[in-house]
Amino acid sequence: MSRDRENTPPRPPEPTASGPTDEYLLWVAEARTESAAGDRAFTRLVELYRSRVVSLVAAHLGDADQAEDVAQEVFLKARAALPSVREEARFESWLLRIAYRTAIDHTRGFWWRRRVSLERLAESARETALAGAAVAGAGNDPESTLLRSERSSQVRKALREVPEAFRAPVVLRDIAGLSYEEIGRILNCPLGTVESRIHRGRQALRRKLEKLLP
Amino acid sequence: MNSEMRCQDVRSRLSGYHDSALPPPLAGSIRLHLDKCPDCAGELAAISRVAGLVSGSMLDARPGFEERFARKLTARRAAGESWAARARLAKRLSAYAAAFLLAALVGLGPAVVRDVRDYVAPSSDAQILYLALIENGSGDQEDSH
Ligand SMILES: [Zn+2]
Repeated sequence: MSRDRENTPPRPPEPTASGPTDEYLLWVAEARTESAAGDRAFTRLVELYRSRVVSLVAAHLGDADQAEDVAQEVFLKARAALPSVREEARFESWLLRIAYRTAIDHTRGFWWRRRVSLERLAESARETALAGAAVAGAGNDPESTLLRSERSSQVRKALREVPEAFRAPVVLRDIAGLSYEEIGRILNCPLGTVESRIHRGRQALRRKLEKLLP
Repeated sequence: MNSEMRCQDVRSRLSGYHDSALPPPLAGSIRLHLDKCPDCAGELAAISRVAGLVSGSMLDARPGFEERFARKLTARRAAGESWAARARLAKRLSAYAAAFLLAALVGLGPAVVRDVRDYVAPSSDAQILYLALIENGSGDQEDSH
């Protein structure tokens, strides 16, 4: 398993509980155009959502490094399809749905899509070494950073062992941060089912995590 | 109406309660129960811990994620015909998307099926579907067709 990247960078304005901000909607509108400006606007959306997409994918794959490649694939698909999508306000759940489905496909044995390039492995190893050096050199509580990283990878391991029907709604809720309504639309099931699956998923995780993280 | 709830009924709704996803009257009844029942309150704390561990397992992408994305995007476009032209074509041909899909499923095999599935189930929007197809069919340098 890989090291974690815990330090989330400052984020551009996100949709809030009261709805998407105007600035955000402008980005989405701009990103729908087939132009260089559209590409730039889309790149800002990539910046905004990369953490959630990578984390969502990693939670299904159990592997943070592979998740990075799959996340790139997600954004490429989204960029290609976005100009024909209406409903800009629902960009977020649309994107996360693509992420969810792409991640699930990668967990279902489409093994020929799983390419681990040597370049990636080398790059990954180098970064791990650098991260280790940074942790050792920095005075900012390296032990808790390592513990947190270890805990996160235990959580991903446990998630991977939970059946997909229960893992998916938990991840869409606790990592993607979607509402039960949005989860219901993505998983194509009623609210009551979303609720009970989230609950059973968390109960299953709890049993696994009690062994791993007593 | 009786607002006293049994432990069993409370426990099955604790995730919904934790996520503020329950109708207010039900949430109110559960809150009353939790005030009086340490066992169920303990269950809620356990659910809450699990949810916190999952959301605490968030990652950020490696540095340079957007740059790598921009390079891939450029490579894909350069590899195919102009992206804008493809999108226009897609619009014009969207009426034939269903027929094209059928042909693609039969003719091009599982690699296409895989990408198509992403779009069929969630949206059934013929245009998205068609775009997904042509996106897959050209310029994905990582695939061998
Ligand atoms: Zn009770």
